Amino acid sequence: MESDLEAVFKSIKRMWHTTTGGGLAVLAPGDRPAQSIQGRKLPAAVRRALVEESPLDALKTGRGYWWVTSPSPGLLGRVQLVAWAPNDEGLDHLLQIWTDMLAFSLGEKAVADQLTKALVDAWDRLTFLYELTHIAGQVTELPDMLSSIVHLLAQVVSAEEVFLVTGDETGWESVTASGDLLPQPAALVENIPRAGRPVGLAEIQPALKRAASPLAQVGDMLVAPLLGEGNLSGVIGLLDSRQSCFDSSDMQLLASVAEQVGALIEAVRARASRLESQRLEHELEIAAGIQASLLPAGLPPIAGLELAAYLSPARLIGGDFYDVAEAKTGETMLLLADVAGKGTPAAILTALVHAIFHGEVSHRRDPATLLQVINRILQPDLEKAEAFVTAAIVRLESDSIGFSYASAGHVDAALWRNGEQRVEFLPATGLPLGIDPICNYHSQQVALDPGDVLYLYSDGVTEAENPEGEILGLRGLSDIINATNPAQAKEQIRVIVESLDVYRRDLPLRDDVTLLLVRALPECGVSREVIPFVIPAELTAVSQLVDLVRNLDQTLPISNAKHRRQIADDFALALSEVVTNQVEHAFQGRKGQIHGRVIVEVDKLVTDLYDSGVPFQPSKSPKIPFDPDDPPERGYGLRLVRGLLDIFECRRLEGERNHWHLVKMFSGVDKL
Amino acid sequence: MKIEIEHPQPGRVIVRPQGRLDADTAQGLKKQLQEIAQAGPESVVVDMQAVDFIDSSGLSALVSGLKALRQHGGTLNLSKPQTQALTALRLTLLDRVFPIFPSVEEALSEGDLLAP
Repeated sequence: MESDLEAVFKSIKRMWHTTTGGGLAVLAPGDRPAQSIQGRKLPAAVRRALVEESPLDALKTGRGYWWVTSPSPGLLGRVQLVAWAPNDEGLDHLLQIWTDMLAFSLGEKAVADQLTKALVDAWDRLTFLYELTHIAGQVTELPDMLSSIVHLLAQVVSAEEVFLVTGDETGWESVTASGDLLPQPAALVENIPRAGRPVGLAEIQPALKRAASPLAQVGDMLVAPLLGEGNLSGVIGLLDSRQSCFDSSDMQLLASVAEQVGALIEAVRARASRLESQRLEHELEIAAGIQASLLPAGLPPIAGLELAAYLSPARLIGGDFYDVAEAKTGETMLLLADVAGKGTPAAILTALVHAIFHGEVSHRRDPATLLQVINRILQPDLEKAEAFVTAAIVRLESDSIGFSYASAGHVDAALWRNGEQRVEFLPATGLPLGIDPICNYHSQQVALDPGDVLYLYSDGVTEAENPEGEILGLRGLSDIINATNPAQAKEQIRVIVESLDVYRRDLPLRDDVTLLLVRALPECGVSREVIPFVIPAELTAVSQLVDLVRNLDQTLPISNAKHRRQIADDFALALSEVVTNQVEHAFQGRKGQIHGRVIVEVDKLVTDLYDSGVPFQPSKSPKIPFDPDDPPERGYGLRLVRGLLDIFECRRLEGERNHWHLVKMFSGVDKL
Repeated sequence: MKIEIEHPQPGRVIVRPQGRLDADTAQGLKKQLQEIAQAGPESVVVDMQAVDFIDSSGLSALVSGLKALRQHGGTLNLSKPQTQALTALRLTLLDRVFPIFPSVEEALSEGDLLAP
């Protein structure tokens, strides 16, 4: 008998040492507390805990951690474990399980004739728990791990069947020691109390009967929920045809096992999902590389026109792309497409559209015919993928300044009419690709006048959303275009993209943003530089415009350096006053944007500002003569603006917007 | 904005704002000058040397400081404004309100004469 106990204690010591690299001693009543364990002296606090029979949890000393377990009622009285280890990773948990197991085996089954069996059971079960802690480190595939667990458990419990059910809301699957399938595993998962403790047959039988589960008919059953971070990931349990064959020590074992297995499943799943997202990211990187390689390396130079393009995918890879190719007859063909969907499937469809466009463009020059052909070829693939593509195709005419346009369900292209100073929209001329295999498209001819601009873009532009949930819309885009013209195409793209950032504020990009601009160059003659801009309507942003104008200093067409400096400073000051007034009065603390442009002409600086704030109302207070002995504290802004500028106007535009017009002539430079 | 404060002698304060004095930053200077005024009669010199941009909000802060100091029997002189600031002061006629000096030393000694 003594030797059986010794054997169990020895095995615990060995397991602790292998697991932790530390040491462990078992103290039965009457044993004098050891002075040291494996040469490590017991700290005073540890000795005190043993004498007082109180527990101690992971006491940190210079070279490791110490534990003293709660005294367990054992065969020979109360037993305590004292242990040390170099680190404390989850060891308190393991130690507690071992103590509990030991206590149950030595205490509850202390019937003389079963004693030897009880000790052997204890030894088996301790070994089992020890094995369990090592499974996680060795097995990375969940099914293998679950199978090892049920087989291991079957070796140490006296049960006809050991089962484990795992899965999620989409389905539950069982693993059993016998290899048989467990009937209706979902009924168990759905009816197990989630408190975390195992339940016996009596507790779960009524629910199983209601669910008409054959498991309601077994002789005895123990089942425990598998919980990881509060989520139910399955159940583990024991079955037998004999009635009342499981006791409280089986229940204790099952509780310990369920706790460990729940944590293991959670860890393995977390690792698997981490690997999966890494794999996905890698795949996306490859797909993004392919997609980027499909974009044209550059845009061709075309007499009388200026082309510029921009693409920014929202994720690593999106469904937007643009393309340029030469028709057989020599005209330049432009394509901008948006494939519904993202990721690799979108990239594949993108590559398909690209390939068909390049294949067909050499012998078809009509945009509508091209769309028709692409639609016919692509339709079966798109239907299979349950996807569709919107696309606009433009043929730039070679004999005149203008273009031919067709759109398969794509968002309205915008057209800036420089003569009328307004924006028109070109709606789609047919359904998206992939909807109807025999859809008819038609082309529209548009002539461009000098300064006119065509804007092809994806819906990521007009559907940009601000934190209030409002989308930019065609009107918002139209407001931006009003302010950016007549800047160069690439400058306009810069400001449109900045405007989307300002509009979204801190919200991330949700959709791809793609832009393709065709600008008819203005007639030669007046040389001028146009710098469009956008700022958020905030005081902290005003200085951006001040800096922008002051940095123009060197580029002003004024020979005298001092005069150049003076003009830039004066204009910056006037601009600062007007924009500060816009922020403080037009917006009154509301969020918004201020769009505008600075134009450097040969004889003057001009700025136009646009906001959507309340109308400007100049102060109506009567003009009081300035008294140097009692100067007013406010009201210098308008005085500065009028003193610094040659023209200062504000008018109300339709659509509840303000337009501010500021002009500073260079001729007046010496008037101060 | 960064503002340095120096007390060269009892009753005299040099205030050195740096950078921009605009709607975004002028409140800091206004508060600083009002605190000095409340501490007792002082001859204050605002050294404008490091102010590279001032607009009407900055000017308002200076006027507000001047009024607060006068109320408590103090003075406010300006020294070494940059060209940009000088233009703003001239256009608003505030060059007739603030005594403006080419150096801090001159502004200080002049403040001495004016001080009650």
